[in-house]
Amino acid sequence: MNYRKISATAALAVLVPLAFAPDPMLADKASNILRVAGSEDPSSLDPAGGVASTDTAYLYTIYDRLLQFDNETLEPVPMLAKSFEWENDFKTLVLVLNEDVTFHDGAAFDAAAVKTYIEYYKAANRNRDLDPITSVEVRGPYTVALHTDAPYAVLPSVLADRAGMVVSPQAIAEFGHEALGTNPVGAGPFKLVSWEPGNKVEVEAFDAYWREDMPKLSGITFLNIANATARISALMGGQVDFVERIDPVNIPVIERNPNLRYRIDPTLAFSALNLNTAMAPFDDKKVRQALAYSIDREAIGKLSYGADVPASPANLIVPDNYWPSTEELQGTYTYQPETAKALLAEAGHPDGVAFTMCTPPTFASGSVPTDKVSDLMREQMKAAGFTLNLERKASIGACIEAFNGDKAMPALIIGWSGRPAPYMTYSSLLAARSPFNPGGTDYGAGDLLESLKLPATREELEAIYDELNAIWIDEMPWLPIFYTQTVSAFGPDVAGEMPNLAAKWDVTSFYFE
Amino acid sequence: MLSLFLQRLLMLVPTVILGTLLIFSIVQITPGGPAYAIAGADATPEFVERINEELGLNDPLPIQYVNWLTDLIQGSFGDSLVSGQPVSDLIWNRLPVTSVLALETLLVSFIIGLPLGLTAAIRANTGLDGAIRVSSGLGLAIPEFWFGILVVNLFALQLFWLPPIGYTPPGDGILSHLRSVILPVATLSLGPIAVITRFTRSAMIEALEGPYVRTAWALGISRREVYFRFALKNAMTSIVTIVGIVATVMMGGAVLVESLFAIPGLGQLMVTSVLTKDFPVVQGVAVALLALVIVINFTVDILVAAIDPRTRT
Repeated sequence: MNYRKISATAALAVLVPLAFAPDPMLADKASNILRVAGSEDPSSLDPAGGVASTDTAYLYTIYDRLLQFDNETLEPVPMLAKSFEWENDFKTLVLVLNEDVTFHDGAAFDAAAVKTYIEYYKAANRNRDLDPITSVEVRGPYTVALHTDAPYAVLPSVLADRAGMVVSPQAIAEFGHEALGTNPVGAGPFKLVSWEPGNKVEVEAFDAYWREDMPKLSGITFLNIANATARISALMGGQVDFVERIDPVNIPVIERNPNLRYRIDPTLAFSALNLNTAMAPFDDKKVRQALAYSIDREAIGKLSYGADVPASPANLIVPDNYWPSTEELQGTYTYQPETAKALLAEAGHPDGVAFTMCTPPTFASGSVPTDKVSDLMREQMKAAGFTLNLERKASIGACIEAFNGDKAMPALIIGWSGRPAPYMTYSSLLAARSPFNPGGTDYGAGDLLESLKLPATREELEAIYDELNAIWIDEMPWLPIFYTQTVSAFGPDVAGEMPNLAAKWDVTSFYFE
Repeated sequence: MLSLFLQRLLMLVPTVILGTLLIFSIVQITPGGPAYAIAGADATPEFVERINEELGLNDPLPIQYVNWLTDLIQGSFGDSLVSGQPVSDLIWNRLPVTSVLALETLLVSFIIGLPLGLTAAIRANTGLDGAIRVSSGLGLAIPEFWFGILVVNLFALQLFWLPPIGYTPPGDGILSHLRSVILPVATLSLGPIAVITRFTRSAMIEALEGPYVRTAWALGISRREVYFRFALKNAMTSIVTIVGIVATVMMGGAVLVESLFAIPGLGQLMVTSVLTKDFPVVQGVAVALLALVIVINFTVDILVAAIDPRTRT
């Protein structure tokens, strides 16, 4: 027997068909299905049951909202509700609904469905943003009034987010809180086909979707690819069309491939040092101001994101290009170690100050390893008279427990994910009783924050935010470092993406050219 | 043989109890919890506390362990803290993927490692033996993850011969399945091939030095018969034992490889659940892997006893 001939023949018999075997994951443009690589599963496909901000990319495909955010300004604008207006001294919001909308299960979308949904959302007791609504009044088949006891000016913004994702009343009755998370039924452009936890979520176009020009895709497949290298490999290998977030170090790799492109989106999120202003040394405003002069934000931003992403130094809690910002205050604190030393001396610390900062593994919304920047920060602060001691913890939760709960150290490096409604950010970080404000004082901003709850003109609001920004710059209860940027990558022919200031991708507008 | 079987079975009981206690303890003493992973880093402490309360994470640890063990004995791994889905469903969906990957890796490692080891032993102290030993040394030294990135870059991203990620089940087309597992299996089998090669070589050299082999040479028995009927048979005990050890070590490698190639197996599930502090899933997957390791070692013990009657004590 000639074993060599037999072996060679057997090898060919396997290898040749293998070479031509189809790869089910490869692009089939005729199918018109967008494949998205993400890093996290949804926590739930029930808007009332989940809480993770990473759910929204999935939820936006299945659920339309009562209102939606304008992509440029983040102002709430009509969606399922074709108009909205205030009554009763801004304690009643009246929504007039679109009349030709159907849920995926055929149930009709009307005022009664909205009432059922809002009551279902509040009863879930998971998210509290609809708590101020005391009653829902059905005034007509397509007119609904939401009543609150006190003015709640942010309600339109709330309805443009998770709380406004209306679920079919039929599905609520059939599945309830226990099972709707895996059996979602909305009125969005896509409906769920399957969810394999930890692997993928598949949705297909809803034929009876109420907007004629959408969706342009036949379906979307969200692939859960936890490993960042694997996501890039999948994009380069043609197995996915869009990667929501890539590590900026991979930008040169994308640039080398003529079929791929990337984009950098500024977001509302920022990284910062959270300071306990009730604890030494940060109970002294001068020390906080000195600290603000002791870091080179541009250098830290460059180190965090690399040379390909423009650094975006932060002083205020909203980015420069967002309307509540105050342009002339943005560049107040730059790296000035001598100024910092002088302020420390005025505060009675001529020999400098030492403090401990809790560091989780990552910050800036999980996009930057903390170790990458903490040593640089320590060296920068040293020149300014600060001795930075690092207390490393295994998770952000452990750091928050140590900082907020045990009050074990006066500083924590963290990120703020941002809110489309700016009031939510300012009240969270400045209100005296906010858990994110361990100092326990509102720094004189209390009345201004209350006035934000009352609807006002844009000019009036800008004036209020200017005053709040001035208080912020003076008091610096948090030390913003840089605004978070997201870098996303696209395969060939993918188009239709919108600005992503809220850092929540909405892929329903995507299409293939 | 039956008494050996029962003896080994009885030994499993304390192993399982100690294993589950260790798994539970290690997961629980890890700082942080799933609440912030579920709610986000900028969730209010009240909200986080509510999640902890809802999920029973504020109960004393002994109570949590007893509850968990009771459920385990009744066949329930509990529900995922993040998605709310039964952990057993998550595990059962992924167990076939990891099992297929592990079996294929073991098969490939054996098919390549055994002949290489045999060749090295038969041609001991020659250039060929040296080359095989150097290659197996490299196989042991090269980090799995780095090798995986290398092969993906070459075969998937430069040559476009194979897919960089993903897994096609055998049921969806055997050839497509094979294409999807070539790179992950090659990555995962690098270390095991090296180990099996070296152990086979050592075991064969030892067997070939035995008095019965000298007798066989003296009797003029053919080389093929001496090598395979006498020497290899006696060396198989060591080889089977090392295959068992390799199989258990490979479970750890599967975590890395499944993550790199985005294969929806137990390893990837373990990674995502550790990152989100999804305790029931971490514990469930660890118990599933523990069970696999116990079954493998149990099988190896029985096989060794079947091969070599001298071990049936």
